[in-house]
Amino acid sequence: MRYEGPKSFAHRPHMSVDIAGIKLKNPVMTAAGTFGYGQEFVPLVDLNRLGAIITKGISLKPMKGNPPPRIVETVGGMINSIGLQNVGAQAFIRDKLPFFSQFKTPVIANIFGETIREFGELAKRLDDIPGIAGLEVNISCPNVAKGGVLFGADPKMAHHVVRTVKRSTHLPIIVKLSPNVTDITLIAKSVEEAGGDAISLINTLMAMAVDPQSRRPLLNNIIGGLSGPAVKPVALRLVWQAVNAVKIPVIGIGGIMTPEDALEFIIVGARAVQVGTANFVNPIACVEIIGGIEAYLTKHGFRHISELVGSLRTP
Amino acid sequence: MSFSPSEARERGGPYLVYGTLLENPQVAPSYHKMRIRTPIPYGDIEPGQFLMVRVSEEPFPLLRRPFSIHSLSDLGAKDGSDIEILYKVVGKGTNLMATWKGGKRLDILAPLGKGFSLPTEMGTQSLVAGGIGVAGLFALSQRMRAHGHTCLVFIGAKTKEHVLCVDEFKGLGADVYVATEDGGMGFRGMIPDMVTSFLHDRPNPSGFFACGPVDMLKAVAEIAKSRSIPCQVSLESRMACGLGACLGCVIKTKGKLPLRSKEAPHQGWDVPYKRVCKEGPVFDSEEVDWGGI
Repeated sequence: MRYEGPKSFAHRPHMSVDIAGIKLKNPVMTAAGTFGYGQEFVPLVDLNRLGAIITKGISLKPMKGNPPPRIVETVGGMINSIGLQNVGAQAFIRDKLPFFSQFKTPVIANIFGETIREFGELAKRLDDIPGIAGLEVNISCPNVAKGGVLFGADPKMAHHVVRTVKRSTHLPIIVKLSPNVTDITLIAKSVEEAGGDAISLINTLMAMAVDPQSRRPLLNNIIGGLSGPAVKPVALRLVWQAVNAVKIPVIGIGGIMTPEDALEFIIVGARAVQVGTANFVNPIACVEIIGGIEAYLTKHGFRHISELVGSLRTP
Repeated sequence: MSFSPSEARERGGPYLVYGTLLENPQVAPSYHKMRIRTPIPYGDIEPGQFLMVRVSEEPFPLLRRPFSIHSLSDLGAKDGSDIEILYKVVGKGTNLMATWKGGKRLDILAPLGKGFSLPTEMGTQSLVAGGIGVAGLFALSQRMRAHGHTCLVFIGAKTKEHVLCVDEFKGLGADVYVATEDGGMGFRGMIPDMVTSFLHDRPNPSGFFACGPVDMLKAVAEIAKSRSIPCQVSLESRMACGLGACLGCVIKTKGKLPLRSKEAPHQGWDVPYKRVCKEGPVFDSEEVDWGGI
């Protein structure tokens, strides 16, 4: 019914990647907040096919999120202001995490704190919990009053958060960066110096939309974060700049809908990618992208995905 | 690749399938009715549930569009079901859809959400539809008829051109009452006023089932509450995934405990925001925080 990559096993290229010690069978992960805690997609997607699952962001205590309306579609994308509604660490560990044990796919917990101390406490809370392969530290949410993008826009603050999390956990930490900064290389370097094991980018671009008839904002929160194909060229540029600034692995995120989109990020140097908004439009997007990357490697004679990473032919 | 219909069924649905558009006629100015042949078993779909259709392979319009399942026909266990959706042409997505012709292959995600709970005791049920809200109530009326309930159907619209499905409901043996804001057809005024005046000298129905604009739903919920009649409402919201993952479509309900209060232990803590796509689109009217919508 839908294309899923080459059928023959004889000449299949190697798709596995290692991100800070987390072994992924392929470089495609689900982006935080776009795949819930996995359960919702079970009737539609074989979760074992995915490179990794990044969970919906969790905080130390439950958060109720922002009042609706929380989303609006714009040209080539959508703006959201969910506001990190989540069940909190305790319910996550008790009710959500056990579900993943039936799958072989690594689970990376996306974490969020309103203060640096909260980041540390949360990292500590998740440190010795079985079933978590790593943490993705969200210092880039544009939709919360405290914390969020404030940490991600200031290299010193970013450094503090990362150092605190690093001291609180044995798990590898991926730091998710915001595009809403003047110079991404400063933040990326600061995170690397503080001990971040990898960086992922981009989170959403701060955005808004207005209904001219009513002269009202289309989101209750007025401002939200733009995602989807519209942000891809901006994301690609930021990933390229980050790749050139740090040695730690970079994970590319932003508007990836197709295998070709993912390949662009890998070619500029991303060792892995995350697929977000595409999951809403096409719940099997990740699997189709994995198949497409594999077909590309086969067609172009690459034996291993790593040969393609950073292979951009610059003028 | 997605799972086959039988695998999706084992996993509890929904189904991500291709359906075939059979017909897509305009049924009134700016309203179309689309009939789609799907491999989804009839028995797996509840009235009040919805489907999402991918409108374009291009990046705009991007998101799938949600539609109430308007009517259902059983094609047998092996062949699935025909699903109809009734939609109003309002934006980019529905304008594109209105151009679609029979034979087109449609990328469908269905059935989604929680539908209406059918009353267990026999009785007279009141269905209240405002505007395009009739779209969400016809399948319910079909199912109620099959279960032997008597249906009263109240339809409200701006003008008589916007009154839909009267003959279809009558064809199911329902008594249909129409209200138009300009009085061009039936009762002159708003639909809750018609319901109130209708019930003035009649016995209470056993239940209310309402679909339409929020103000109307709120008014019907008040009528139901004042008469101690259970009331189910079908709500609308902007949606992205339809699967419960994005938390974009929430509405405010009467949550149990305040957020982060010192008295409230985290166990039993209840988020006041519920997903229209998962806990809904049908809610008990008493559960909804009408002031927060």
